Amino acid sequence: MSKRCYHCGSPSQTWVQHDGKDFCCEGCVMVYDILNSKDMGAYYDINKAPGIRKKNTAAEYYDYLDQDEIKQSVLDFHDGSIARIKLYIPSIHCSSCIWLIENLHQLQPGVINSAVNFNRREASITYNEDEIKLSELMNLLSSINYKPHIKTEEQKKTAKKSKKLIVKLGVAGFVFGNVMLLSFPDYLSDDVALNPDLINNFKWISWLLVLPVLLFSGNEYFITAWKNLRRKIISIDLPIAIGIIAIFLRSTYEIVSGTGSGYLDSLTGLVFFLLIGKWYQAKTYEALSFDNDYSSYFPLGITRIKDNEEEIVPINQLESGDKISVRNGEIIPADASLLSIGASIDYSFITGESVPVRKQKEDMIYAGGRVIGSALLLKVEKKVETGYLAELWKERTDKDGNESMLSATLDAVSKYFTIAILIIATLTGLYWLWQDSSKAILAFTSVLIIACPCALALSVPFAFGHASRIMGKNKFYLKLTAIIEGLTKTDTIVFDKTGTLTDPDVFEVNYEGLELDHFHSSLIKSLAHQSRHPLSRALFQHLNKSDEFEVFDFDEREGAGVSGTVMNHRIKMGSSSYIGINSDGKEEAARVHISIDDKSFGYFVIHNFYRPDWKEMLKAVQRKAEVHVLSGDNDAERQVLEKELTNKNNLHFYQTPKDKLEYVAKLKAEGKQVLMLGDGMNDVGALKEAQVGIAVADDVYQFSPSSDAIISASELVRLPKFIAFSKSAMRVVYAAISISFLYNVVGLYYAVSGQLSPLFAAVLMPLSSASVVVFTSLSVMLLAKKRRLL
Amino acid sequence: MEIIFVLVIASLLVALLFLWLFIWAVRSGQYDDDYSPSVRILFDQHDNKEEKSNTKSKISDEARDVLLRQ
Repeated sequence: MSKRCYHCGSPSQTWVQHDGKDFCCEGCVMVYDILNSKDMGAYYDINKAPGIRKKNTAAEYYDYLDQDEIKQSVLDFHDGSIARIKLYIPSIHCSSCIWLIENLHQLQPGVINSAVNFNRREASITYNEDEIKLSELMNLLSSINYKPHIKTEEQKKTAKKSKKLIVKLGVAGFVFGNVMLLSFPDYLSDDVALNPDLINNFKWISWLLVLPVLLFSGNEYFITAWKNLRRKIISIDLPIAIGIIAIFLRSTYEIVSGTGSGYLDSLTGLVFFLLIGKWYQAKTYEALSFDNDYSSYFPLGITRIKDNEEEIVPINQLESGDKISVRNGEIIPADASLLSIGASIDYSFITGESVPVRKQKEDMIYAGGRVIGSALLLKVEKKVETGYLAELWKERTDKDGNESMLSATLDAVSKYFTIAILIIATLTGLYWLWQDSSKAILAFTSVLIIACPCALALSVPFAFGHASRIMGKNKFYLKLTAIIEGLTKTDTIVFDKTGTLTDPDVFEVNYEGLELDHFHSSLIKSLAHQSRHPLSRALFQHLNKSDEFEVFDFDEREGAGVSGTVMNHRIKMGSSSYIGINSDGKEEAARVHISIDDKSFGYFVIHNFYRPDWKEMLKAVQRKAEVHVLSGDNDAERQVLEKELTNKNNLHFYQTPKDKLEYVAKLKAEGKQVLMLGDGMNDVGALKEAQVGIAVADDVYQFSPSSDAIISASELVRLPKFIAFSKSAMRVVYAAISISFLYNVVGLYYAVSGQLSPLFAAVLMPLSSASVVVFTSLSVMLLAKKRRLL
Repeated sequence: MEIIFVLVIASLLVALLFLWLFIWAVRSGQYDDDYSPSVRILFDQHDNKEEKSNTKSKISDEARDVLLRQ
């Protein structure tokens, strides 16, 4: 086995020897030392190399958290000097992490207690405010590379919702079991039956037990059915609600009048099974957040300057006209104009364009840019909620409104189903009214009872729920299972380039020209290190084996190049015009020309590094769908991409976030089903606009733009497979719907002819549900096996 | 035969007790995390050992400064 870092387990080319162990970088050594000095070496005993390597060096400031108002809004609990806070720590990944975070009190006095919820990657930390400030606590966690995030209100809500469903399921299960037992004597033949008085009492107990199922466990079916009816929509909830009410009224009538025993056991079983379906479908990925909005990226507190004094205010209290100070690495929270002399702003977050932009005094700076270099003084022009970025987000938040939570197909089916059932029930009632009026009500309600589409309602949750779980195992996480249906309809796929098709952290560097020796490479490396331009960074990475010298007279020209004196040699690198040579006009944007002592040496061609197998992936998806590529970057990659696209007109560069959004909207207006894949804030508008928006993330637990699904970048190549798999899952749903219709036809025969007995209903209804569940789960699993997704 | 009625009521009460326990368990968050408790139980041994050493060596001001400066 090759050498691995003792702390984080990553391979490396340069090694730091420390304490007889190998580390990949100083950062890892530092964390190791901190832990070792506190006798916390057990961290490394539980798991091998459990640490996290520090990825981006962007500084984080937490001092705003000590401002009272902000502190109160983020703390869970606060009494005297004792405070508790819930933090989202996406880097938690193994048992060592749990151990370390739960033993924080050994690392830092003042921390009283900490508990980890692994499923949600959450730590609940109780601490003493007299001994440690909140900002210090946050800094402590970041210093050991467990970067904490503060949970937003929205994320806290979803947890509560899923708990309520479990309680409802528990109540329904409890009642189902007891009512079954109480109904049992009634099904026995007369010679072993109990005293009729006793049976009658049992019925009344059952009736009382059913009330909580009706009013608590099953209430959502009535509420949704009613809400949809008022919006003139018939969903699957309506026939279910009608069925439940019909069973309950009919049973109550039979019990009160003593004419029969009712169908209460069928009723509770029905609700119980339906809730299981709901629970199975609703079980989502708690640790992932699909609904990040712009505010999850911004700091909660901002340094405002008033009367020459700095104060920290909550972000929502910023008014236009306020003067604010933003430090290196911080994100500008609102559209503002620059008061400092000049600044470099990294807009990669918003535009995808990786080159920092130079801004002059009084220039307008949009929110979302990251400050590079010294702290800036800005004047807020627009409040945070009305800024460019926030508007982009808001634009599509109210997506079609009535979007189905389950499945559009199922809703369409249930619409005709409901109408058909109501017609059949009425005709049956009328027929019996004419034949034998005593049986009319009985036959009418029997039809409604037996037609209650329990099996139908379970087909989608189980087929899609199972499919989405299988996709989750393959690192493709869906926010809602209904997204599978959207995937099957896709006929147009739009890709973002930077970060989606390409790996933003890696570059492909080739050199052409006079041979460079080690000394020359070292000169170039030294100069490249001074610049923050992405091409310089790529060069610096590429020349990692070279040495580094001190650079004098460093000068950087925006959009041109850099120059400096290294070891008494004058070095220039940049565009051909900057170097002073003629360009052949090819791929100019990707080339870095080099001149040493005014002698032109040659050029480096720096290309984005495409994700492995991306060509095969594009080829496969283009067989089934139209593919478009949008890029916020310059067109340096045009030739590479044109080769892979069947239609070269679908390739667009220099796209602003708004352009992307409008592009997707245009495709939609042409009647296309658009699937959008993007990775950054610049894609958020387009991701929301598209029927299905998938965020591509190198680390799925890090914040990604709000989307319908998150796919791990390494699995992007399997996209065609996932689409094909969802099509199979859809076919399973169709088959399951057919099966449940078959049961309905058999049941209806008995109901229409007026011979539906409670025993028959009690057997047929669970049987149909169970067989549909087994059928869908098994066939989805087999299909996944066939496609090697399991 | 009336005794059956008493028995049914009694059994229902027991079942209700368990339902209440279930709801209490859900509400108190016992179903929230199905992974960490299973590993946490293995940590205890370490914890005791650490506790002792912790009392001996309180964090020095210097180390604390290093931690906070980052």
